[in-house]
Parts: sequence; C-alpha cells; structure tokens
Amino acid sequence: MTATVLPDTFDIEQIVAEVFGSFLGEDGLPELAPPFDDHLPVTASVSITGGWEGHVVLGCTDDGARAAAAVLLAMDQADIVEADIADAIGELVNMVGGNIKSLLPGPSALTLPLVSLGGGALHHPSSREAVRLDLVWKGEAIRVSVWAATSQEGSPL
Amino acid sequence: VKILVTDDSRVMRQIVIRTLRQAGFGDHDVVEATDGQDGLTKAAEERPDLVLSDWNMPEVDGLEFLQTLRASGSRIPFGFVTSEGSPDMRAKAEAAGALFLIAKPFTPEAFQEALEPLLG
Repeated sequence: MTATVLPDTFDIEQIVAEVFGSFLGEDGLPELAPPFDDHLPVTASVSITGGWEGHVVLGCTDDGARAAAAVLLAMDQADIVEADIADAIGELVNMVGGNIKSLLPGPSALTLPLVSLGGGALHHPSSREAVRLDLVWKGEAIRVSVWAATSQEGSPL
Repeated sequence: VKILVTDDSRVMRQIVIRTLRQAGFGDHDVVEATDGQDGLTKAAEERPDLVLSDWNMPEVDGLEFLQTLRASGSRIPFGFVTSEGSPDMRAKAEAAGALFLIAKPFTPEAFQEALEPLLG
C-alpha cells in the first residue's frame, strides 16, 4: 500500500498566504515563525472524510482573531462581538481546509467548521498531528496543523 | 438586476458583496440568504436574476438548493462560491446545472470573469 503524501509546510504556507492575501492582505501576510509552544485560546477545525480522513486545525490568539474578524467585516475592533470572531475564524479554517482537501486523495467531504473561543482546545481522537505550521500575523501567533486519522497511513513529504 | 447571495457565514456574505462592488457590479440589488433553505424562500419571494451560493451549509446545502430549484422548474442562473474547487466538485456543480464555480479565496477578477457574460 502506498502511503498518502500529505501537503507539506510549503503547501500550507502557500494556501495560508493565498487566503490572507485575498481577504486580509492589506494588513500584511502571515510570516513563518519559529515553532512555539504557546497555548492558542482560539481554535477552529474542519474535518475531511472520504478518500482521506483527518482534520485541519487553525489556532490563534484572542487579539489575532479579533483583528482578523475586524478586517474581514470591515469594522472597528471595538464593535466586534464573539459571534463575529467565531464566524471569521470558522470561515478562515473552512477556506484553508477546503484548499488542503483539494491536495488530498478524493472524493471526500468537508464538514462545517467547529470553533472554540473559550480557551479549551478542540480534541481530535484517533488522529495524530502530521503537519504543523507556526506563523505570525500582525504580531499575533497563528498555527495551522493537519491531523491524520490513525486508521490510515500518511506521512509528510 | 437582483443578486441573491447565499452563505451561512455573515463574514463571507460581506466579502462576496464587497467583491461584487470591487468587480464593478455594485449597482445591482443584493439580497442575502443564510442557508439553502432560506435561499429557496428568498428565491421564491425576491425573484432574483442570479444566485451566488456557498456549497457547505447546514440544513439545506448549496447543491441541494440548486437541485431543488431545478426540480421546481426554475432556470435561474446559479453559481457556486465555495472553498472547494476540486475537479470532482466542479463536475458535480456542472452536472446539477451550475454555470460556474468560484473557489475561495477569490479576487474581483474571478468575479468579473464569471459574471461578465451574465451581467454585462
């Protein structure tokens, strides 16, 4: 059996740059950061099922999430409410996840995003973190990771 | 011309409406729907000339929205704006009667290319 070749950090960086460049570009693109261990209180994920199974997870800081929501909605940060942040971060992981899905074996389906704002991480049982990309946008930490279901083989390039 | 923008994300509806403006289609009327079920209601009530719809939505998704419209006899021009632009999804969209699929993230140029033949 041939192992699935997962998108690597370069692929994910390209996708993140495209998403941020299209909709958040006026405030600069995320830059690669040295790996960090910070706990990121805002987490969103989408799951992929079918030809490949796993999850795409986006984590960021409270301030980063609020800033992104304000840019996406063209509103002042002071006017942004929690529902806006959940919507914005959910839509960002939806776009990143949808584009990562297109690089993986199909056909497969993408779930609606799950978002956690309260500092509690989203757990993905029966899966392992296969690829992680740590970034900084507007001075705020962002992490994009791909979690592969442990029931299948898969390895980064 | 009236355009129905259907997406469960308010953020994305705002971005689509902003991009329509940037692409030169800001003079048209825009109606918003929050999922495929709301889209069916608004399509019947508002009689739009074009539907732009997300694919992944709760309750009634974009594909079911389009299929239900077509089953009811509606020939309204319909295009997807979705984060999934794989060949498989494009084939499904075309088979169901969609005129185009714009993949997120998108640019005003992508909107111009898809909508210019319809809106002029």
